[in-house]
Amino acid sequence: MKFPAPTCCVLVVILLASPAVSQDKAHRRPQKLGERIERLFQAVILGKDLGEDAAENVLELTSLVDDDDPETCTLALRTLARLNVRAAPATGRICKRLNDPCDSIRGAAVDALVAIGESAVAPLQKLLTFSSPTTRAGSAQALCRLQKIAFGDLERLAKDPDPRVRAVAADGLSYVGKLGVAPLAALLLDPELAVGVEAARALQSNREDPSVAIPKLIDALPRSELGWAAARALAAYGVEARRAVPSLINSYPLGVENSFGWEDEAEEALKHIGPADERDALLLVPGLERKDPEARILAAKCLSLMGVQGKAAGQALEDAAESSLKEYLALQRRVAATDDDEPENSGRIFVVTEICVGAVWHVTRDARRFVDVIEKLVLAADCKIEFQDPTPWQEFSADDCRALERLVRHPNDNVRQTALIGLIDSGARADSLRGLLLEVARADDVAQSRLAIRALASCGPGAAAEVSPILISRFRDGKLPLEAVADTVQHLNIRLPEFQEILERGLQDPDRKVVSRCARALRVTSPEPRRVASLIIDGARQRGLDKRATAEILDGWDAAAEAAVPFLSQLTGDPDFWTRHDAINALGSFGRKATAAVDQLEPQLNDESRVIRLKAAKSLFLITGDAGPLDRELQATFTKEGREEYYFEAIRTIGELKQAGAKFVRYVVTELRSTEPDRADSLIAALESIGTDDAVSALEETARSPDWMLRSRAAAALRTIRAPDGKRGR
Amino acid sequence: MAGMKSFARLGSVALACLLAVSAGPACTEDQEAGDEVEVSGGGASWRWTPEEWTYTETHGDLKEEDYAPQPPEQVLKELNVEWQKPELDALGNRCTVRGQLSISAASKNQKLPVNWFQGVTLYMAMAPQTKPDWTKGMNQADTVHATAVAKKSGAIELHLDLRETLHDASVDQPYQVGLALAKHAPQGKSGQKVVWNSRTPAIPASVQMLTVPRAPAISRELELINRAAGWPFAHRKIIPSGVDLIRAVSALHALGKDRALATLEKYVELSRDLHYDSDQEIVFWIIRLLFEPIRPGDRIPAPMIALILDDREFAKDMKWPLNPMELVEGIPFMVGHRIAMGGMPEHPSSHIRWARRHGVLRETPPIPATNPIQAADSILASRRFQALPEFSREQGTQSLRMQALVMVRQLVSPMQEPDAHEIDDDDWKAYLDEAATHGIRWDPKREQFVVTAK
Repeated sequence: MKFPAPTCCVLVVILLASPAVSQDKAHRRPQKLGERIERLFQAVILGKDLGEDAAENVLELTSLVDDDDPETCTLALRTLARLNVRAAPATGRICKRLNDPCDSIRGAAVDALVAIGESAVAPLQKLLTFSSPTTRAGSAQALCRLQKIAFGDLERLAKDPDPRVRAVAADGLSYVGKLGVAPLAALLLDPELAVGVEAARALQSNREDPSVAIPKLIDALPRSELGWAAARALAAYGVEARRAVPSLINSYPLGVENSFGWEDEAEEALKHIGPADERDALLLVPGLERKDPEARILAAKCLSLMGVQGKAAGQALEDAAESSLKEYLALQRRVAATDDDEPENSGRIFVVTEICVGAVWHVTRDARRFVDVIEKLVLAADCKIEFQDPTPWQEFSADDCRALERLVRHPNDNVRQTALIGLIDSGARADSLRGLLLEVARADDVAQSRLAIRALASCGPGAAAEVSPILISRFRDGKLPLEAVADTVQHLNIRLPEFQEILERGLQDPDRKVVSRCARALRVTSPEPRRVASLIIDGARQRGLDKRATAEILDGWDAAAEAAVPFLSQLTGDPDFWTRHDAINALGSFGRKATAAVDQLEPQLNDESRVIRLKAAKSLFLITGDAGPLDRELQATFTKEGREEYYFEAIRTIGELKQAGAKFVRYVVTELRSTEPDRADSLIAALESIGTDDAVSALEETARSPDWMLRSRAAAALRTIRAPDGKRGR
Repeated sequence: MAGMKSFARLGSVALACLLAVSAGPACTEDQEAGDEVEVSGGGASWRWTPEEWTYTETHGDLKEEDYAPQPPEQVLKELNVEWQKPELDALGNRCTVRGQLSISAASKNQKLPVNWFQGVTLYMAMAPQTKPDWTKGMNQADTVHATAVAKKSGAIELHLDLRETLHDASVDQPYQVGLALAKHAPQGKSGQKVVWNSRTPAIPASVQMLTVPRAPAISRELELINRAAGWPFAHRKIIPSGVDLIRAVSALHALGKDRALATLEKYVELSRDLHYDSDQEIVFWIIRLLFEPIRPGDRIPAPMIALILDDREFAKDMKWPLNPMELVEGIPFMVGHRIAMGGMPEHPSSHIRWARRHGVLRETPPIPATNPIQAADSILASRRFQALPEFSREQGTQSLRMQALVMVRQLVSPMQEPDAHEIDDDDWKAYLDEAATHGIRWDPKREQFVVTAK
């Protein structure tokens, strides 16, 4: 039975004329109803199927909507909602419940009306002007969800005296595009904070008019308890909201959305918005002067991100670094004097200094100025200064490295060490100071000699001939530990027999870490890979060398395949999960050369762990070319149920295939188009690793995203792929 | 009404009953047999019966503390206590009693501080101006107690919750206090086992009358929140009831959203001392009754505390809307039960923040439209309650019945059997009939349930 729309309207008005729930009625215990209804109610409570004949009970359910017992009424509403349009005869009575004093019953009524759909629209539209605010709110919400509400109605409801109605109007305005933005911006100023929060949420999804929304959201940042919602909305606009950066820093902290939130919403928003506008560089300076060290760190990081566009703030950064250092030293003195265990967050204040001084480099790109600041601060702090990765030193050119010569020759130990650490980070560009580094490496100061050797190692194989004799003599004098020798030999690719001998002896060392580093060095430098691989495998079999580390060393060592494959095949049955995992992975790296391992790998496809199944399928694909098992595992992982637990592992597995991952790149691309920016990092890393045309075009599309997190990461991946020594065409 | 217990004993029955409910599966090391409770863990143990309690602590290594050796028994008997004036905290609940322990020196005019490791028990009369006899220890029916260890200077500081006494917070009242000493035994090389026991006599010279001051003035709303705090699990002299909760919510509703939330914040600030512990949970329950989500269909999140209403098997849209509580015909009930929990419980300020950001005041505060016994019965008979796991139903049934009876304790027949812990089905049916016969209803002016039929 279906009532025509006008009948429904009359019915609604008649029903609403009577009070929704009597306030002074005799209470009654919930009555046991007929068996069929009770069965339906049980199914609704437990979320089970209602059965095919459920619609036959519509009339009885309709009468139960009026029941005095709230649970009976709720269950009737929920059951009717499950019947969708077949519940249309109940529309009038359901509408009456939009005026119920209990919000959960009103919510159930809205859900039921939405489920009924088109037949409920006309009666609901009549109720938009009803006297009861909860009825107006409920009907407006149902119509919004059905997308059957006129913009004019929303505009009017946005000025309703009741906050519930205004909040629903805000929600509705989020669906109407550009027209909805101005009224939403006005609702940010609503006297009821919760309405303002709903307006901010709506502006987060309706981003059709940034020119109107962004300034109003910026204005909302300082409003107590609204700022967090405004920041979340601004984050959704990404780089378009760059003029919000100074206000975000000045309003920091804004708090988190709920108790489970970790990062402040201002910090979170800045990650998505990216660098501030060049015109606003000086507006960030007050942030450097805030008492809260976290606010100062945030301001300095933002200026860093601006690069040379933040040059105007260079002096302010120098001043902030210096004043933070003074504050740190004063705190340290106070702590020493009072013997206080709680140094009042002095660690974070020192981080302010490090980040400010790092920012000096990023905004000026003036190596001499940066090095002068470093010298001054290291002397004042009486300790070396180190930076978080990526460090400014990594951006130093060969010319910039020469600016460090003075510091390497400095009389102060901490200054010298800071400079040497800088040269280690500068990599091959430090070669411009090779002579000086060799001089320090040969000098008596053991600690600095070691740092100089590490810096020389990072220069690359060109320095091998000059470094080798120093290395040998330092090792024989006992001034350089074996693991440091192994690392240097590996980096400089030194193939001299005397080092081979030292490293092979190192395979017998009782310290597993030393063995592992010697083995890694031998893998790179040995002229006899098969023999050395056998030595390493024997070490794992006989002397308790860590099997997992051995599997990792053998991974991809093509020349050692003959010895490695049988050993790794054996490890696929190891009781330790991670040893098994790494052995399966390593077998795949040998491709066809590991064909003999297929019999051991195939049973792993039935392992109880999806991670093992994924890795086995990946290795089988690399060995046999059969993509079927991996495709099946990936399909299962990207279903709704599988995705939460194994999502990142599946993405990583595709990335590990490198160019061979082209066959599975569609999974990554699909995910990247729908994922939250915070989860995209592993997807972009996988595309970077795959590096094929499809991967590149997905990265190019991502690099045009308004979200800074996405675009900057994608742009970096593209730079890596396109670099002369990059992955493109490899 | 054969088989019912005396309401004069409702306090102690409720204590044991609700304690059993609240302890439930939370304390695996607990043992409960009749009127006996034992809890142990972390180097301490506690044993309680209605007649006697014993508290034991083991202190492993006291060498670094450099205490003087324990003197002979005779010296202990001559211990003096110089009491200071008791102080109350801002909410007027927590009474701090300080004193100085000393012994008389060889020259009788001189007093030396107690500088050895000494456990002490403060006895305080439950009622003002009464003089319980503590020559054979304390009786839990007329005395409350607190335990502590004296500082090396001989200073002692003990804290009592006045809600466990008959203190009238509006006036200064004299209370008898006395001090008893804990027994010490060597433990290992340099440790001590300390045993506090209720049967230890008070030191005669320590027994005195001290004036407990009136509670500091606080707003009516704060006073009402304070009175409801602990609902429904607290075991006090006067058990906080759903009526207290309704009164607090009504008073806050009248203030409007901003002032109501500011008052709740003030309460959280005043009750931040660890002593209040689960008292602050009242904020969660008040927020649920005072506010609804501004968006129809949204739900107020369930607090992450050691309490559960296990509706995990229910369909998403059929979960208990106010989990773990329920509001029936304007009468609040706690349906959930206590559980064990690791880590820090959620702080109530998160729900104040939720209300400010996403909540709107309900159109009216809860106004009871039936009597609490019928309301509890309708929860017990509801399909959702019946669909809960068996353990939740068992815990909920006793708790709901008790909560209902506490709300009308003056209006229905007293219970007869003082030591039983359960309200069985027959008793419950009798109460239902009685409540209907008496025509128990809510009097909105007096904000309490009243009897309307003769």
